[in-house]
Amino acid sequence: MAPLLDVNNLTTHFYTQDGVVKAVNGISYSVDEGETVGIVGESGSGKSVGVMSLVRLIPTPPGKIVDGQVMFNGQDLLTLSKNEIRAIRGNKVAMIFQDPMTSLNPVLTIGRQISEAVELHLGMDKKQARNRTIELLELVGIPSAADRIDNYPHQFSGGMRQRVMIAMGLSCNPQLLIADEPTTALDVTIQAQIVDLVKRLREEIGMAIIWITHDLGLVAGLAQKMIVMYGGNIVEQAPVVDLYKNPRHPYTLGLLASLPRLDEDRPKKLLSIEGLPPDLVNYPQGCPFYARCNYRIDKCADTPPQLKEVGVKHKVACHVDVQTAKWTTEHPYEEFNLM
Amino acid sequence: MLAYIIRRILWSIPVLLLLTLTVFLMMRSLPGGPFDFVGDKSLPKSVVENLERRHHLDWPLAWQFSSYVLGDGITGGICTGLSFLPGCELVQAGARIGVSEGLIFGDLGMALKLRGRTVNELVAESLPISFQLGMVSMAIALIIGVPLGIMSALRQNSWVDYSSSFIAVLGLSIPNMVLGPLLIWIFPLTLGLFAIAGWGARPPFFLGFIPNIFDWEFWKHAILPAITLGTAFSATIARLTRASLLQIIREDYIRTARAKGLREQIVVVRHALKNSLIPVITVLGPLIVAVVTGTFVVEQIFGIPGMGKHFVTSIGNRDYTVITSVTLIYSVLLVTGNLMVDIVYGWLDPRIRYS
Repeated sequence: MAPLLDVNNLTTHFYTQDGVVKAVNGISYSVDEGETVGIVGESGSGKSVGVMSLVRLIPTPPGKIVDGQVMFNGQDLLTLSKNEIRAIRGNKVAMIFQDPMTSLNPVLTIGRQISEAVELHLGMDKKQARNRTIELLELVGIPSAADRIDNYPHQFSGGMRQRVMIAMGLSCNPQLLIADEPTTALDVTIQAQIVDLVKRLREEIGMAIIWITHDLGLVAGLAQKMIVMYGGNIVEQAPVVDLYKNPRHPYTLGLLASLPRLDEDRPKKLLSIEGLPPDLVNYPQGCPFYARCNYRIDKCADTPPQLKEVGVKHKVACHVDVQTAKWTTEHPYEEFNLM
Repeated sequence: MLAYIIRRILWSIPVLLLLTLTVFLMMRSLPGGPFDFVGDKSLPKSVVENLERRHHLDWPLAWQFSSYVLGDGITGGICTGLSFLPGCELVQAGARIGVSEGLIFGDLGMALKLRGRTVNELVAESLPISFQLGMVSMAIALIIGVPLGIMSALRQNSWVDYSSSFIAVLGLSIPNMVLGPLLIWIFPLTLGLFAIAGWGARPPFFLGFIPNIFDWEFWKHAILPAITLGTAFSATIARLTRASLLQIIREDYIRTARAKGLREQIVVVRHALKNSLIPVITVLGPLIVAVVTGTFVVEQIFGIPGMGKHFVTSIGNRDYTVITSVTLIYSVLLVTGNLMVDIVYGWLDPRIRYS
């Protein structure tokens, strides 16, 4: 069976005065129906731009999707007309965003903001939409929803606002929910509540989820498949257990080494990945991780590695095999800057 | 909300009183007086003295102010009771030939240079006309300015944006005294459209201000001066709307609205416009007040008997009562305008609440 979403060679660039920012450089992945995919990577790795490009929410100009194909239910979303893509947004593909403080319109009631999508996509009249909105607010755990429907966003706490965002995302029973760092702006207890809520709703509604985060621990219990992005590329892609047990990319190793672990006898010092992500305007010729890689070899400097299968559904883009290779350098970024 | 409005109105009373005192003192500290004529026109000394006595200008300043604010009746009463106060013999002598029943009773006094006219009469004649002209100008400014601003924000850095910026800068840069005569030359003189000068609307006005807007005579006279006044304001409003909308359109919640699949028009009108109008409303309050109280240049060019000329001529004439009174009226309107702006804020943005 064909996957729900099949992304092929998606490439998004921003044309700015300082040059072309190569934010996303040919990423390919797929999401099956009901599957949850976690995308991790540090800030500026192209995670957000990558998913916004799926439903063409990139501000154009300066952004432009220069290449690729996004097959959703057998339709290429990138070739649809404006009206056709609007019928998909918020309906079959819904999004929730990072900061619930700024993602809701301060001058409209939350009821209005949820029901407008319901009216638009499900063709309900005002009264039906209002009832549906109350149901949705109850579904996401807003107490006394019928009273709070006419409140404004500033009358809600951060966690409650994110629940409102989720209610908005789920309002039209989407097949795919794109969650762009939905817990980053929330404190840890609220994060756990939101993750539990999404898990429960996934079981009830059965939608597929793309969950973007830079918190590897958070998605571990949620996702079935993980995608690691670096410098606008997918560097590793694997079933979730595989990725944590058997990471194959030096960057993934670095990310995991920077996480604290509860199962160690003596806590080790957390390691950080030295250096900065690559300049997306003057994009490196070879591997984007070259400058920060402990395992780099000469080939990495000029030949960009391609994603290749290294296990069951496990793909990695690296010239060396980190399971057998030794470190070639102790402080890669310092040495790189001396070169 | 009502309590807030009442509190604001009560607070404005000391402000207005202080303002009246300031204008009163500043005008009187200028050299010269209303009856000083130079050269051939100079009056005999005795005539000047009589005129000054007639208008209480021989009184000490404090008593003059008291006469203006409280009226001659009360001022005279005070002096009868407290006759030991300095200058009271003059007040007692002059209060019988009263010039004012007092500001607090709505009497703005007598004009010094327009013999036999009260300031109330002058204002009643000229303020409605200035108000009508101002309102039509503001309507023109908004009808042109807001859509122009929206269009250029939505098509930022396109030819639409550049040409509307061009029009806006042009509108701002052409002074009224150039645009006014130019319009007169083009429309009435060359094309035979509209009136050259004067004002078409005749009293009585509805509620004292609103003319019959179905009367062509009104529009024939109003349209050219209103365009002259309105273009500069429309340029300001367009620039402001553009800047504000450009900022709002980059907000996260606009992206949320787009992610819902809403049409771009709905995103702009429902989600962006209300937020972006707040700075526009802020400048609109004082702007409207400035326009409805009369504008000297445009009223002069088009021969409109509005209030603008009283502002300017009364200073040169040292017509103390007229300048103090028209300034006071301007201030009352300004206070009201700002209060209205604050009320509109609360309607535009639910986060703003008054208690």
